[in-house]
Formats: sequence, structure tokens, C-alpha cells
Amino acid sequence: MALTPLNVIGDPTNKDQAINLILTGKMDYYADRLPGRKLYGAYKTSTIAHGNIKLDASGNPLIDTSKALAEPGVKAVVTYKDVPTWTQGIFYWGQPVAGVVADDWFTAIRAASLITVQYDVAATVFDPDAAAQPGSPLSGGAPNSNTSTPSVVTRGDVNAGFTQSDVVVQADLPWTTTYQHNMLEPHGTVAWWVGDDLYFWTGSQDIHSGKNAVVNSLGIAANKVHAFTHGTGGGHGDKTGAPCGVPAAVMSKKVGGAAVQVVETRPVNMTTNTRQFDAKASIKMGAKNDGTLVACDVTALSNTGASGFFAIAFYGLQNSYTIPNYRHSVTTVFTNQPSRGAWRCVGDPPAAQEYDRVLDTLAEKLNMTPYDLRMKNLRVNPQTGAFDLPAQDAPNRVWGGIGLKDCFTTVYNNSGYATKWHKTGTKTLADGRMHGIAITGHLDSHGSVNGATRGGSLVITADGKALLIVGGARGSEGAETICTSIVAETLGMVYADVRVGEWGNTDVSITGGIQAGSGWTGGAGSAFYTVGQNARTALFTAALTKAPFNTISGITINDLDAKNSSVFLKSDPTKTLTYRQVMSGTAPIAVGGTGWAATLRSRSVGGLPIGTVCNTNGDAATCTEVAVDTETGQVEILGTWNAVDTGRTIYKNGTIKEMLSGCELQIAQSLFYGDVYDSATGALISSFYTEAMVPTAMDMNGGVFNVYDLESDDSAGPYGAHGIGEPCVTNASSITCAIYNATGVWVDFNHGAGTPNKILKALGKA
Amino acid sequence: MSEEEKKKSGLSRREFLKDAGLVVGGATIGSMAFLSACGGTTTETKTVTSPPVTTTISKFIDPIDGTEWPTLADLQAHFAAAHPFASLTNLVTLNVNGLDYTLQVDDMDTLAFVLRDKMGLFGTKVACDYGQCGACTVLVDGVATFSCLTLAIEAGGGKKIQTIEGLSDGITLSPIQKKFYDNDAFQCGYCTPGFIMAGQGLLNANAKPTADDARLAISGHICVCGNYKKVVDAITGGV
Repeated sequence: MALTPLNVIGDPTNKDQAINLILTGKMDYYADRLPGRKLYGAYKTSTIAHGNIKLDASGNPLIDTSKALAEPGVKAVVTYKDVPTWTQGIFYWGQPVAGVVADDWFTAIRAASLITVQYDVAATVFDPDAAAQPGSPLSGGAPNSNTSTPSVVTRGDVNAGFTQSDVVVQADLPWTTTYQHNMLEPHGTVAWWVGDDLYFWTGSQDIHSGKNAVVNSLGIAANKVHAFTHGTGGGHGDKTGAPCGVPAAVMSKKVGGAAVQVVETRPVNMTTNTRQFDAKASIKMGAKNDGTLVACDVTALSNTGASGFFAIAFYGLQNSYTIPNYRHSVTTVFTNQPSRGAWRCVGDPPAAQEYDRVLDTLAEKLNMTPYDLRMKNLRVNPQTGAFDLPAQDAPNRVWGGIGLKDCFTTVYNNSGYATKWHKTGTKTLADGRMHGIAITGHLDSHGSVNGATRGGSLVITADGKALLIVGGARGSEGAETICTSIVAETLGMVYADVRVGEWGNTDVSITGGIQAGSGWTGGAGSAFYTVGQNARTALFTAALTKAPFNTISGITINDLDAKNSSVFLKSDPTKTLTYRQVMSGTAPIAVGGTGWAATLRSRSVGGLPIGTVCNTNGDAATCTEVAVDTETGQVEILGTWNAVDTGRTIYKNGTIKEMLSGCELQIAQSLFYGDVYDSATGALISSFYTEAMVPTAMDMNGGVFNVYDLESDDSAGPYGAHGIGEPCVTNASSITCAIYNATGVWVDFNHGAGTPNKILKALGKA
Repeated sequence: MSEEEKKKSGLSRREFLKDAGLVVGGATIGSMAFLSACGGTTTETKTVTSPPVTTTISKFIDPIDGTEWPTLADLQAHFAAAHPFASLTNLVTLNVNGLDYTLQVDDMDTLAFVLRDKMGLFGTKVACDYGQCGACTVLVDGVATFSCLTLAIEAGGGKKIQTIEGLSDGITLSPIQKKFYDNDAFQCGYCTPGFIMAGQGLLNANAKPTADDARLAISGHICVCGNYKKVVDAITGGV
């Protein structure tokens, strides 16, 4: 598809203004605030996984803080009674119950450890299978039951579909692993009070949501809370609010409003992090002998821990393929483990680990390659070859993301899959290791879930440049470029003339939504597309009042265009004014605007006009080639080919980097990550980087990574762009499938990824 | 700065130091009054003049009343007289980015804590505080060192400490910073100063490292965003 030529967007020479700050150590994260004039807060956490803090006869909690208060340097203590987000009820081991404010962090940590708490201990349930059984002890995560009402999606007649099928596979799959964000910057907040006004800096992906959470928890007026974030040292879906915001505000109040910095220690942070939920599924899939998928029935459980949200998402299976008779039923299970949540994706990774396994098994039964099975059933428009058909489950909506087929063919062609693929367990390399290769891909739900309206604003300065006010976090690098590139393109400004004046300041900004690889482009990017259009109208209107345009009768702003920071008359480009000239003597221009990712923006589709609500999403495919040593269980990635439909690549360098990091995270998910809990207490054992099996550079050979950003000119999203942060990561299942192609065994991911020990166990050697 | 010099410049020394942008080659700290007890020399370069005018100043700040003294002996004499029930002990002189700073520290203060929370050098990050992630890496006598595992009192004695702030003049990137720039070897940026200092430590010992050399040098570092390939490329000089 021919792409509309653009002037700024996609220019590989564009760099993010944040880079120099990062490289010189000047990017300010929340803990880089108020040097030397702050107190420090630390938590006391629960040593039981379920129960209640005991109360005395007067109803006071049996929490002895006397030893902590006696420590030199301790200024105050708080308990759950002071902090609205903490509770008397305990639902997982390591839950914050009290805190200490002290002169320095080490004293605060030491003093917190001296607090003693008496508990009424309740029965625990850590095993999600057990928790889902009738009669199981209640975990307390939900009232009266450990399970949610199943979430069910149905289309067609599933039973009839299986009757029509020539081949049916049924797989009762094991639990996937659970793993956490491990982000380098721990949860924390610096808070202080000036009179009745609360100020706080935090590391947040969504500072406006964080502010709202603090406002609601403390019950104070929104205009009395001033929340800020600049750099955010990794979030991956965990820092969507204001981590430690409420405890820090309460601690500060307790010491007369002095600035208090609460930073969770690494073990506490690793426990309070939300983490990717573990899931298991029974999947039955039926097909005709020619490979046409006819029916699919999925029953799944998601372990959400103590109070998590999100559940396994079969969006990719449900929507990537034409399966006329389809049903999935997902039940969420509550246990006494730490809470689950988004991890670089809301729920697609564990689902892909399950359904890609079934697709490959079915292909084997059909005597087809797994690639051919997928391509035969991709839900593409037979006329256009693109994903622009109405959604199967929402027929009044068209798709925004259209490039999945191209992603598949790109990795297929570049990997040499056609010559490298072989039947399972049939290729031995010269060194005795087994060779395997696999391709997976999917539509990812991110575009659709980020369908909320976002906002932004800008000021055109007297020198004719644009200064943006962004309501999100400055980090990661690339967040800025999305906003500035879109505004520069829309205004016809040179890239260097558009800069961000303020980030993440809730006093002066409209919510920009979540700063993340998936949501930012569609959310904040759409907002600044509107902002740019509004500013363009204002600038052109101002230009019409000045020579030479005011000497030409009858022209309107529609007769003007702009390029390289100059306005010109379309019919006579020699008649021109620079933006600096336009703004000379003109009152400052300040405009705002909002946008929503999930609308047709760049063009009409299927006769539906621009502005129509549509589905929008990311899509990606990955081919992975592995060598498996069946004596040691070690896996070497021989090559990975990762193609992502960007819709439109806005920030070339950042996009390539995001996809390369996607390769690393696929490997981490498949072969490394995994929470480990003590089975008796529910305590998180993997509370440090080493125990959490976080890979290092020694584990990665980036020389075998190959990435491709494909531009499909999406009909939704600003200039057709959509977020690419998560779809590439979800293809971790390609590694699992490649190991199967090599060895003929499926790795059991329960309690950890595909470590050598797990692979040997699958091979019957451990 | 004498009153006469103050009149000439139109700035008090405190006001001058508060403008970190005018302090080049010294510690970019807003005001040393934040330190528990601090003395040191700061090289001031007024970048608005050509050639630059460089002035070396020394000051020692009372951690209790904030008064400034030209020598450590002067401060100690004042402190003993003004605060007879307090003590000015556990002083350590750290040479950071080429300048000496004398600070009062606790026995268990880590170098990371002192650099960040006493000196305001926030470029050094603390992510795990257990020596498992490398974000706090600084150079001590040119060798990459985890500052969260180093006590501040161990880092004195004339050892040369270099932090990310001392790698360049803050305006022009150093060669390794430029390689990180060219390779986009970062994402959220929190681990990046540690990776850069580790890379610089490797380059100090081996000017032409291989990819395996680079991977080994950063093997104690964690990047959860997933940028090891880019970091290795940056350290080895590829783009």
C-alpha cells in the first residue's frame, strides 16, 4: 500500500530531547528531588498471608511500635489505621501494615523491622487449582467465593462446529508461569504538605490517575493535590497510579508536612508489584482436512492473586483467525499470593503460550506446517488481503490494524522458514543438538483497550515555535517524540521547533493517559494530532491578517498550507510567511485538544466516514530458530525474526529499539522469568534479581535478532500509527513452539519458565 | 568571594552556586548547605566570558547553623564553640569528579547514599541496593564499582571517584555517551548511568573490547526494558 509522504514523521534523524538528560544523569526521577532536606519512609510488611491484625479490647490494633519509636532518628510511625489504602485484613505475605519515618532510609528500614504485629491467622490457599474447588478456604480476595463469574464470548454453534470437523485436538494445558516487572526504579513517592495542599512526585506511567487515586483515598479536594512525574524508571504496566503516594502523604502529614520520601526496598517492591498472572486452559480445536478451522472451545482459569485485575485474554485467537464457531470462558481465581496485573500486556502473553501450542499440535495432525495452518485461517479481506473486515464479534466495527498477514510473510521469508522447517524432532545439528523453528503471530488487544479520550495542549511562542504541555511521564525515551513529531507534521513545522515545555504536572496539563509502548501512541498521539490541527487553524487565521495574505481577497485558511515552519499560499507558494513572522505582534496562541485512538482518522474504510468508532490494535509475528541440547536442557536462540505492524513508524530509532527489546523480553519470558513462593507461608522467595531469574547481557546474543517495522497505513491512530510496545513481546510463544519442533516435548511452565531443568524434566531426564 | 568581588559580579557565592548551569567542572549541586558537613573546592567557569574565567573557591559549611568557613580548621573551631554538645566526627574527604569534598558521614552510609542524598549527584541511581543490578555503578580509580556496596568511609583516602556527572562537561557528550546516543542504548533510562560507567570502566582497561568483553563487563547489570544488544553495540563502538 502506497503511503502518504510525510515530512517529519519517520525521519530517522529525529532524536528525543530526553536522550541527553538520560545520558548525562540529569533525567529527574522522583527520588532525585529535594536533596538533603527530606525524611525517609519505610514499610513493615505482614509475615502471614491471610488473616487479620488483632485488636485489643478498645479496638486498637495490636501493633507495637515502641521499639521503632525509640530508635534514634525516628520521627514517626504510621499503621494501617492511618493509611486509607492499607487494611486490617491481610491477603498475601508481605502486605504493608505499618511504616516508619526517619532521618535516613537505613534507620527507617531498621526501625520498621522492630515493629511487631499480632495476627489472627486464617486458612490460606496458594494453589489456584485448589482455590477454584468448592469448599476451598476463602482467600478473601472476593466475597464468599474464590472465583469470579466466568467471562464468556460465543459466536456460531461450537458443538455443531466440532461435528463438522475432520480433525479435533483437545489439550488440557498446564499453568503458565507468573513473573513480575522487576523495573529498576522501585515504587516510591516524595510527598510534602504546604498548609492543606499536598504536593508529591512519584514514578508513574499515568500521573493523572495517580493523583485521582490519592484524592479519592484521602478524601481531599482535587485542587488541593498537586502531582508530578518526569522520568519513570520502568513501569511495564505496574506504575499506572501513584505507587506509595498515599502512605507518603500520610507520613508527611504525621511529621508536620515535611517532605518524606518513601521508597520500597527491593524485596518489598518485588512483592507489592503486580505481576503477570498465571493461567491454564483446556482448548479444543477442530478443523477440516484442508486446514480450515471450524470450531474452538476454550475454558480457562486465571490466577489473579490477592486482589488483582485483568485476566487471560484470548483476543489474539478470537480475532486473528476466522473461526466461525468459537467460545471461550475465562474464570478468575483469587489466591493468597501477591496481586496480578498488566505486564507489558493486559493478558495476551499467557493466552498465546496456550493457544499457539494447540495450533501447532493441530497442524501436526493435519500434516501441515504450523505457518500454513495460520495463514490459511488468518481473517483477511479476500479482496484487499488486509485485516479490514468487520470484527467478528462487533460487526458494526471495522478494524484499524491491518498488517498481520504482512508480519507473518515477512518473518517467513526472512527467516528461511520454508527450507528450515521440519517435522517435530527430526533434525539433529552436527554438534548433536536438536534443531527447531516456529512462527507465531497475533492481533493484540492494546489498541482497543486504550480507547479512552486523552488530552494535550500547546503554546505557540513569540518566535513561532511550539511548546507542548504533556500530561504524562517523560520517560521512557520516545514518549516525547510521539507528541512532537505529530504536532510538527500537522503544523508543517520543522522538528526542532517543537519541544515539550512541561511533563506530568497535573496542575497545568490535561490527562495524557498511560505512558507505555502500547497506549501512548494511540492515546496521547491522537490528542496531539487534534492539538496540532487546532493550532494550525489558529496560526493560519493569524497569518491571514498579515501581508501578503491580507492583500489577497477572498482567501481562507483552506487556501493555505505550511512546510518547514512557513505558511504559504497553495496557489502561489512564493507568497509565504514564517511562523516567526506570523507570531510577531500576535497575541500568544494557546490551544488544547483531545483525541481517541479507536476512531477512523486517516481515511474512510468500507464507506464509513472519518471519525467512526473502530477497533484498533497492534499486530506482530515472530519466527524463532533454536538449538536444544537434550543432555543439558540448554537452549540457544539461533535466530529470531520479529515483524511488527506499526501502522506508521513515527520514531524510527525508538521503534527499532522497542522491537529489539521485544526479542529480549520474549526470551526472558520463555526461558528465564518465574516467581517462586514458599509453599508453606506464601512468601515470595524470588524477591531479588538473581532469584527472579532476570537475564543479563551474558544470556543474550543480540547479533541474531532481526526486526522489521512494517507500515500498513492504518486507518485509525494518528497518521495511521499505533502502539507497538507489547505485540512483539507476546510472541514469546514462538520460542516454546520452536523447542517443541526440536524435541517433540512441550515445556511445563508451571512455577517458572523453560529453564534447562524444566526442559530436561519434559524430556524425562530430570 | 570578597565583598568587592561580589559587587563586581553582582552575585553572591551562594547565588552563583545555585545556578548549576554556570558551574562547569565542579559538582553540579545547588547548594552545599544541604550537606551534613561539607567542604571542598569548586571550580567556577563563567561561560559567558571568553576566554572563560576560572575561580577556585573553598568553603566548609556547619551542618547545624549553615554558616560557611574558608577552611576545615575554621569550621571545627566554630563548631566546637557554637555547638558544645554536638560532635563533628566521621569526616571523610571524597574526591568526586576531580574535586575534594569533606563530609560528615555515618559509619554505614554507602557511597551511593552519600553521592545522592548528601551531595545531590542524582545521576547515580539506586535500584536494588543489594549489588544485583549495577544501576549505582561509579568509577573508583577508573574501575567500575557498585556504590551501593561501597561504604563512603572506604571511598576516601585520595581515591578518584567519577560519576556520570563527571564524564562530560554536561554540554558535550563524552565518547561513550555519544555512542550510547548514536545507538539509542536506553529506554526508560534508569539503568543507563550504571551501564555507561561500566562501559567506561571497561574502555579504561581495554580500548577495543569485543562484544563478549562488553557482555562480561555489564554482566552484573540489569536492564528490564531489554536493551542489552544496544548497550553492547554502544560499548563496542558499533552503530
